[in-house]
This record gives sequence, C-alpha cells and structure tokens, in this order.
Amino acid sequence: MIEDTIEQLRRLVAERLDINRTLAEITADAPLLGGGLGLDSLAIVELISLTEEAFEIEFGEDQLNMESFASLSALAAVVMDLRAQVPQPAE
Amino acid sequence: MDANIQTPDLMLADCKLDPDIQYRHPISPHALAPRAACLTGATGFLGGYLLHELMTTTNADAYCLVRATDAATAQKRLVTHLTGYGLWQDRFAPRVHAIPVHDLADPQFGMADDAYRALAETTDVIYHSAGSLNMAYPYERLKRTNVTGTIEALRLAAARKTKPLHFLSSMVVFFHDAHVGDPLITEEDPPRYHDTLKGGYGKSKWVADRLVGGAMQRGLPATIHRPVRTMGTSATGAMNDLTDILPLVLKACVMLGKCPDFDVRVTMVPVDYVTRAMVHLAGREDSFGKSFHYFHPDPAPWDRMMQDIRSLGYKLDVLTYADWKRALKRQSADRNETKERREFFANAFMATIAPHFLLYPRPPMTATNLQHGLQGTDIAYPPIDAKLMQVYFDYWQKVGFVPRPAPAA
Repeated sequence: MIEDTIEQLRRLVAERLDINRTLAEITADAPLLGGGLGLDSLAIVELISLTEEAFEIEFGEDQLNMESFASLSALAAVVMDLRAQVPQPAE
Repeated sequence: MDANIQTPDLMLADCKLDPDIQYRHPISPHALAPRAACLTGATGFLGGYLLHELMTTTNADAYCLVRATDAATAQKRLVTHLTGYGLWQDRFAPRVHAIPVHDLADPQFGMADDAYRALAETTDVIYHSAGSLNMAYPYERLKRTNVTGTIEALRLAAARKTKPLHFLSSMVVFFHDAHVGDPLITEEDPPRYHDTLKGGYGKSKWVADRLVGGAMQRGLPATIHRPVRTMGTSATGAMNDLTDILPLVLKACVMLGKCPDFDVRVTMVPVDYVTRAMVHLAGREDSFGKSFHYFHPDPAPWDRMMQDIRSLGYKLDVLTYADWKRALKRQSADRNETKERREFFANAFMATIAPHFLLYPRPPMTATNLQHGLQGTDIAYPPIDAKLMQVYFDYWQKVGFVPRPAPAA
C-alpha cells in the first residue's frame, strides 16, 4: 500500500534527517525542496541513501529526476515501482 | 495568489502583454547611435561587460538602474562591480549615471514620476539584461524579477518616445519537449509552450521572451539575444556566478579525481562575445525584430575536454556515469569529509538530476541572423581548447573555486 510507504518515508525524514520539522509537519504532499520541508541538497542525498537502504532498492537514471523528489507521495510512488520490479534471475 | 491556479495557466496568462503598453510615439532619432542608453542588470555578470562595451565602443551615456537606496551607493556598487572584473576606468565616470531603484518589478521601477519621465525622455535605447539566474527557484518566485521586470522595461520603451529594447534572453527557452524533436531551431522560430518546460528559471525566461516578442508585434523595435551557457572571457576567465552546471561538474571531477564517460559535446559562449555582438547589432537597423542565437560552432567533445584538464596537472580517472554519480553520493555521505565538501558533493549530485543537465538532448540550432549581423567585424568565438581551459582553471584556482592540482610525485 502506498500509504504504508508514505508513512515509512515520513518517519525516515522525521527521525533520521537533521531538519527542524515535527512528524505532523511532514505531510505527504509538502514539497521536499524550497518552501515546503526545506530539504537542502545534502538532506536530499541523505534521503536517497536512507530510502535505498530501508527499501533495499537502488535509484537508477529513470528515477533520479526532480519529479521523484517533488513530495513524499511522489517518492513513495517511485519506491513502489522499484519494489515491484522483479529482480532479474542471475545468468 | 489563488492556490488552484497551476503554473502553466499562470505562465500562459503572464504572456499577455498589458494592452496599455503601445508603441505609438515616434522612435527616438538617436536609436542607432544613442546619446543615452538605459541599462538594467549592470551589476550582473553580463551586464557589467555590457556597460564596459557601451563605454568603450559608443558615445552613449549609460543610465544604469541599480538596486540601492541612494545614488551614491548605486554608483559605488557599479564601480566596485566593474573593478572586480578589471573593467572599470575612471574616464567612464562622467558618462555612467547610476539610478537607485527599489525593485525593477515595481511600477516605474519605483521611481518618482518626474525622475521616471526624465529617464523616459532622455534615453534613446534600452538594454535589458537584469534577471535572476537561479536554477532551484520555482516560477512563482522568479516571476517578479524576470517577468515583471521585463514588463516594466517594455513600458519604459513606450513612455514619452519609442526606444529600441535589446533583451537578454536565454537558449533555455527551447530546451524542452516542444522543440527537442525539431529538425532545426532557427532564429525565426518562436519558442513554443510545452508542459515539459521545466524549472522556474526556464519558465520565467520563456514568458519574458514571449512578452518581448509580443511587444515587437505591437511595433517595438527590439532584439532578442539568446546565449547558451555564458562563461568568462578568454582573456581573464573571470565569472562571479559559478553555479552553472558546467563549472560545477568540472569542479566535482577534479575534486573526485574522477570523471564520467559522457558522450556529449560541450558548448559555451564567452561573455564578451555576447556583449560585443549585442552592442554592434543594436547599431544596425536591420537587427530590429530579430532574434540572435549564441552557441559555440565547434563544441568540445567531453573526452577531449577531460584530456585538456589533465594537461593542467589534474588526475581524472574515467568512470561510468552511474559509478561517477555513486562516487558523488558516497562522498556527500562520508562523515570524514568536512561539511563544506559534503555539501558541495551533494549539490553536484543534485545538479545531475536537475533539468537541463549536460546530457539533455539539444536540438540542432542555427545562428544565421547573428552571422549575418557580425559580418565584417572581428567578433569571433575562441576555440574551446586546452588554452581556454587553462584560463578558466587559473581563475577558478585564484578565487579558490577549485583546488590546485596535486604536485606530481
């Protein structure tokens, strides 16, 4: 469920990133950059690493664009997509 | 602002020029050989060179709109700015008039009626180069400076007498899906709208470009200049704004000691090429109503540029693009690095995911108007080679933007 993924991402941002926002302020649709949650580049890169670690995925060229980091709900959709991709069997 | 209005609707609405702005007054008789030029953005990178060009190749006095509370402060900012580029000469002083303004986006630039009227009556031509170049801000935030400021410049061009307006746009207005499939982009092509037009900066320049195009249709003699990636001159390499993607990526390469294996050619335009061309073209009647494209005719292959940078003493191992990005990400998460360096690597990583990254496909472009207009002049692009890279890196080392290469073992 995308709601669960969003919830996990909200907790990651609230607990692991060094930003002055409470969980209540971290909404699914708040813009991550600029006026919304105010994440700087360092925080975004950290969020990418934390998300990759937590969901055991790796962002590729197709996912690394501004749209993926528009909001936590956008990011959650990307995570769900990556999770849904069945790992390729080895040779 | 109504939160329900989406940016595209807002942009398209913003392209409609105020019907009150009409060019009914006769054109200034000194439009081609101005006695007085009004310049916006003189404290910007290109604007500073523009002011220098006006001082050295024309007889015009320059009336520079500068954000300041009083004339003395405004004048001081101008002199300091030009001095920083080694462009100021005291003999310019009697011809340089700094006009303090609160904000270019204020009606009449926030000037009192009599001062505004005097400016409108005195000046024969306008160079509008002011703009905010910030790739991270949304459209709504850049609109004031880049769009409303342009509308005010178009209004000044109509006030008391019609004066030609020479507008600094950007090639970014074409870098989106409405044009990416075009077989060729000529200077006759108006930039079209597409919802893949990304980034507040590109959007705001697109709207401003369209507004100037609209004013031309109402009879304003104007020119539109669209450079791609303006860099320092081939003599000094000086630049104050090093946020462009290319300096950022080159810095990341030398700091990592690693470069990606891009298969691209890199274009750039030295700032003085653009300003010399703008002032020259402004003196030709056949320039009016035209756009001019500035891009290097012989862009440098990425791998040759890396070789040029190695020749300066830097080590650059080649990685796949994916591995290079991983290296950036790893360095920005490395707790052994200083905060400053981590922030730099994070910014570089973010730059790779921003719109208009180096790898963004560029449609082929032509610059026929520019070539025609510059015939018979000595205005020419310097080659993008090891010599130019040396000038740029010397300057970047001098200002501490990039580290000096480690001494050979």
